[in-house]
Amino acid sequence: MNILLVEDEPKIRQGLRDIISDVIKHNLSLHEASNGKEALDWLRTGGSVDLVITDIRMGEMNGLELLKRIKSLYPELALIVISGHDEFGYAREALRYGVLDYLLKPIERVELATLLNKVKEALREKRGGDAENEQGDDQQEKGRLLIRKVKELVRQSLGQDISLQFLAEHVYLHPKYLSDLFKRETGQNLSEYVTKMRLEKARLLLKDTTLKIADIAEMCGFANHKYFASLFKQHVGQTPSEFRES
Amino acid sequence: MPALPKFISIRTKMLFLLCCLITVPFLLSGMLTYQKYSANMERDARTSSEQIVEQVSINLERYIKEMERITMSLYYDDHVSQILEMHTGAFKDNSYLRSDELFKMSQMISSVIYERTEVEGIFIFALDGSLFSNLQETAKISWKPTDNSWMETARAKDGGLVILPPNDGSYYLEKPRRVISLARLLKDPLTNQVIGYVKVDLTSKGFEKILTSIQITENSKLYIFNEKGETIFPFSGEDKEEIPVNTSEVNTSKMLVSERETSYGGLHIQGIIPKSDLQSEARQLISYTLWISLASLFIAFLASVFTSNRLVKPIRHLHMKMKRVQNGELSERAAVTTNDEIGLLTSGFNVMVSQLDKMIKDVYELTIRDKESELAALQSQINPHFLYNTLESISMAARRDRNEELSQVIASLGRLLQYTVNKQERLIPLQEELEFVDHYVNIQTFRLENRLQVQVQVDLSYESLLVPKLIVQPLIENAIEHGMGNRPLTITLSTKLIEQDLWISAADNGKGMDAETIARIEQSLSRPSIGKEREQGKRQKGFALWNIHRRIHILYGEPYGLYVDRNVKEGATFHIRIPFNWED
Repeated sequence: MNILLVEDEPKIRQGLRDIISDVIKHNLSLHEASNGKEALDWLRTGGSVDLVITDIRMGEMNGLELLKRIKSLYPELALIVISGHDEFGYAREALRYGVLDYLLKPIERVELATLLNKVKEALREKRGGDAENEQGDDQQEKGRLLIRKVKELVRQSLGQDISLQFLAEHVYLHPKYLSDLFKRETGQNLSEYVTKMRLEKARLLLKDTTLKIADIAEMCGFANHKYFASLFKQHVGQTPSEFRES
Repeated sequence: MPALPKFISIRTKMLFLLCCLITVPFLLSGMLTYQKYSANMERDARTSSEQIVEQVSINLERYIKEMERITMSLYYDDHVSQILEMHTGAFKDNSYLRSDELFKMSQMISSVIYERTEVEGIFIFALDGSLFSNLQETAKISWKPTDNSWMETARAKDGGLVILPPNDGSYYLEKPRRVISLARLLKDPLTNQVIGYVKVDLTSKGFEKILTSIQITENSKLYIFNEKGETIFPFSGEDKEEIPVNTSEVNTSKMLVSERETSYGGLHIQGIIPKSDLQSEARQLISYTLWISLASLFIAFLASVFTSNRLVKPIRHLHMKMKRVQNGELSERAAVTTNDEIGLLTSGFNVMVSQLDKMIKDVYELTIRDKESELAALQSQINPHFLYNTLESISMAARRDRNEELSQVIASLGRLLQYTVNKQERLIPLQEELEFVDHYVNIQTFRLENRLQVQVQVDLSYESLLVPKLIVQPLIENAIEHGMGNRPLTITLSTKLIEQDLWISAADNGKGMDAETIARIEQSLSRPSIGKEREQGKRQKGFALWNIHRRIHILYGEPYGLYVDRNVKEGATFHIRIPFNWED
């Protein structure tokens, strides 16, 4: 995997390099540039790259300008922005150039790692599976097993409060780590998953039983039945009573 | 301040005033008119009754004189005295009278009373018991002293005229007749010896002719008494009226009395007019006045209700609006309906309120602008590029030294700063708030190491609910600041649904609070403003809690806010109660 890292501060650049090499242990080719111009020049000289990670504020040619150029020259490149600016204007412009994500400094390791994994995954699929995934398999198998366990636990506890803490305690993981792992493995938030499963159960109950809607809401862990109705409508496209009658 | 007098509405006052204005003059003028009028009436009546009584006395005197002349003519008649002298013997019953004597007598008498129809009969009583009269067929020819007690009176008068009250002549053969009589003693003109009595019986006709036509007022009465005080007129007997025997018995306060004695015959004439007769007209006048004033009162009442309504209604309206303004509804304006003082007052009120409104808005906006500019200044001073790049450099340096923990704390610090400074939204998903809490806890854990543990037991479906920004983290901060003792502190953050409201609770197992502290916190939470210390920039203890409570309270109103749990055995527990809100 070829990555171009554009960052004007050497210390930060070095730190990022460390994180990246931690996450991607095999076949990594990392090229560094200290500003946009340098990066672009390197690309023009034929540097082969899959992913560009760039800062926004840099001495010569800022990140946004660089992104713009890259987008027109190499539209298929994956882009990630890392910035200390939490300004909407910047983020919007960056999104317009098709960036994968806009990470805020100081960077959270897990956040960046998740993102990198996603890119890696996407590249692998694009290339149709290489020999390189052999190594990750063992770890990934372990992760999938864990996720399955969590999903089973969620299914069993739909009627009660399901907190991240509760799930994490059962699989002996730190809540934060579990949350990230779940997101990485399944592509959706744990909370979204829980809500989806609850609504799934509600659909079954609505169809198969004649229980009151408020009771069904409660059985599915939605103590506030109006909230339940609103979520149901949002996900199913019908209110619970409409759904039951249809 | 002196106590205000009791509240009396303008309407009542106006009503009272108008009633007074109407009643008092009417009553006064009515009373004066009545008094004056009745006095006049009395005076007029008295004058006219005196005149009438005088007239009556003159007429009566003339009448009596005429009648007396009849007896006088007999008195001086020779034949009469001759015949009577023959009958001066001792009294005996059933005396024999010669027919020529009777005839002569009767002729004599008849000639005297020719054409006098009111004369019932004239009787001459001889001393021996013989009785002569003009009524040959219908009268007895003898008399009895027991039936004729009047003779004593006549004898006492010694030839003078006696007027007798109505009596029933005992000498009529037919049924007794009610008559008034004139009588006198007959004497021989030469010897002056008593030779008999003469009695003239009169029907009431003569008197009636004089008296009955006289009527002073409707219920006025005329009485005539003789010298002895016996009633002559009206005739008693048939209708036993209440006849006052003398004037002293007449109640002068109710009656108007005029009296006169005839100069001849000794008759006493009494005219009595009941005052009620005189007053009846005055009474009528008074009753008219009363009715008119009652009607006016009623009209005045209606008028005052109407006018006071017109007056009071805009005032009430203004008062109501004022109340609303008092309650803080500064957008209220009162409608100006009248073009008078009240209208001026109302428009003045409107101007005042709108100025007040504007001033408050100005001050309010100014404060917000101040805060905004302060924040902007702060933000520009802390150049994000500089700050976050510095943090990032430190983080990377830490990483290079394999200090993952430090790197993570620096990342969290960055998030903390970004979250507090940048996001302007009031309501944010609970998840973001929890992430913020997570970063905060990261930093605190770094500082306190294993003395702090935070458990977040929030249902995953609740994470998308919307909550006011920065309400959870201060609870954790508070728990650490006040709850941290010697042993490790565990803070449990949990959510619950009670009565369809969302309760976010932060419970710790720390030092806890005594009842006094709880009371102080509750008291400070209930205050609408934090006081001067805050303005001076000193962060009062408990300001963070107060701030959470106030913000929730302003956003959602009663009963939402921050509450202290009194029922915990260990540590301290705070509850945030907010509406269950999942959409903007």
